[in-house]
Amino acid sequence: MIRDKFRRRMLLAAVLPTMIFTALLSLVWINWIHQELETARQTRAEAIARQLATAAEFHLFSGNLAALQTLLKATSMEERDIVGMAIFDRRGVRLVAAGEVVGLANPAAHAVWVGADHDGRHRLVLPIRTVSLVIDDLAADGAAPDDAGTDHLLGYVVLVVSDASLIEKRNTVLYLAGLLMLLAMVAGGLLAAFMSQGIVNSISGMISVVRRIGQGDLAARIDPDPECVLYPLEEGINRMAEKVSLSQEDLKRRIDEATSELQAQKRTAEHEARADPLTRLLGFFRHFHHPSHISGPFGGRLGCRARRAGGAGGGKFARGIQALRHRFF
Amino acid sequence: MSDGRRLVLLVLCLLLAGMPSAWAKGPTVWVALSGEDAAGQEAVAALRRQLANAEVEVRPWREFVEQRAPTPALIVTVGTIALNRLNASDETIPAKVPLVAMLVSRTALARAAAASSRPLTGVYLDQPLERQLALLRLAVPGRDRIGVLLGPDSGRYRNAIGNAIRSGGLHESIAMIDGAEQIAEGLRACLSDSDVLMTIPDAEIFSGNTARNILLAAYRHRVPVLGYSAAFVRAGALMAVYSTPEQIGRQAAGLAAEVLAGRLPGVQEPQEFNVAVNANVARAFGLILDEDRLAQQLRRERQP
Repeated sequence: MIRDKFRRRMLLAAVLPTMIFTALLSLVWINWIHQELETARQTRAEAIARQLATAAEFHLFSGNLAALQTLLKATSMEERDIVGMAIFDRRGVRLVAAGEVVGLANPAAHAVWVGADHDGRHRLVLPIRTVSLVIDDLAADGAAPDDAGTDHLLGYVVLVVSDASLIEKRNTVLYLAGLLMLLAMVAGGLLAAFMSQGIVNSISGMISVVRRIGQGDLAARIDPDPECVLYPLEEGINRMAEKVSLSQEDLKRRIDEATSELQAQKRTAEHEARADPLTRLLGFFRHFHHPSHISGPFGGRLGCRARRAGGAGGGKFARGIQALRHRFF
Repeated sequence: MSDGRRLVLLVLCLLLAGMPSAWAKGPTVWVALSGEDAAGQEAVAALRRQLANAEVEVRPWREFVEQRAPTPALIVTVGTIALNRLNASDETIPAKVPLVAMLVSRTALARAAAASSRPLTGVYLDQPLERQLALLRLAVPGRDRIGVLLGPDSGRYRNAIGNAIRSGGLHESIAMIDGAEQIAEGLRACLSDSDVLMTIPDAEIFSGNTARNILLAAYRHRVPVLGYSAAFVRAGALMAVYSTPEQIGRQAAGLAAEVLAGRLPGVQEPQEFNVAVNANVARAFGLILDEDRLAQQLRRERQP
């Protein structure tokens, strides 16, 4: 019973901190993983949009809609997250589209993410620009050499990115984290139980022996294990039990001796009491062989008087009694 | 001698002492810059060297227009903006002051001449068509179908270009467009029936923003592009015949000297020129071209 209770507490002490730390670490890890997944998804979508914009630039310039459509189909088949895409011209007219229907609500001069709608869809709008080349370094048309370095807007790429894949991955991570936490708890508990087994047994044994000693079983002893860290304590308890046992025996022996002596004195006194008056008197005086042996109401008073008369009168009285004793015995 | 006579003599002596230095300065020439680009500075440096006897004042065009200063003997403009601004400044600069333009296109020079009564001459940047066609014959013999894309500005030379191509024993494939929106359509029209695309400077068609797609379209049709500048060749054109700012500056200085001498020569095409070849593009078309050798051959062809 004690052993089980102690074992439960030991397990709790070992598993609870493990569980708390594992849960905290899992929360931090899941949060971090979620952010990383979201960032990776955004980066991947932007990379796809840029790649699409670069590839679409010439087709947009040449007005080749068939090539643009082929480009969109090839891209949409590759990516699971991207559920819709479209290419618009510079005026915002949709030229080609694939997947879900995409609109161009707010064309911008740079890549823009539009927040998730009720379906968990994000939209990325990326302008398609031509990269300028310097083709005349003599500035024939004015002060500056052409308009090199400035971009020329050709149109827009719009991607619709779904949250479904991200949520699926996040859930997988959650399940994985839960499983890991459970495994950590079980492993921690088993490890704690294994490692604390020796100590639990030892302490349980000590508690049991101390309880038996308390109940009077002074012969109870612990079987000490020299390998156990609690070996000195076990030895100490054994020594303590030994001393308690010895003290108990000594006390008993003294009590027995005192009892025997008292009984002997009693027998002697009774024997003398059964003799003649003279003998009784002699017995009486024998009692006064030493003043401390005077007993009874008379003797007590006589003894007290003799001690008080340790000075002048008392000394005489005592010496008289001593003389009587020497004369008769 | 009375004090009054002494004073008069002293003034005369001072005036006489000052006259040689004024004569030594020579006529004043204003050089108006459109900007601070390196090409303009290079052309002006060549001009200064050639006009050593003149008093050359080089400033941004705005300073000449906004500040009243003694009337110069001649104005030299560098670039289109300076040409247009000073050509139109009849109120501050007398209309009789002649103007020499350099680093401008043939179109800009023609437009400026039509807009003002000021005596005007200059050296334009565009290479003569005959020179470009001669380069094509030398570099890519057998490619005799010449595609040309003309816009609103360059369209006025359509007949001249067609005549030059035909007279060179080549075939023309000219597409006319109204603006940048129609470039792709125009390219499709002329590239499908061309062996070479010859470019004519026209800001509406050939600009930094359109050049990449034009070069890509031509390359996809396996048609090499004849550019009009060294930068165009670096951007991806096969080759170009062009004049450097220094060459233009020297030629403009010669024109300026003639104007200062009291003559007004007509507008000139660049006389000195170089040839640039993009070796990578040439290799892509299976050609091995040497730009120095081509330039020498062209110069030899010019000589009678």
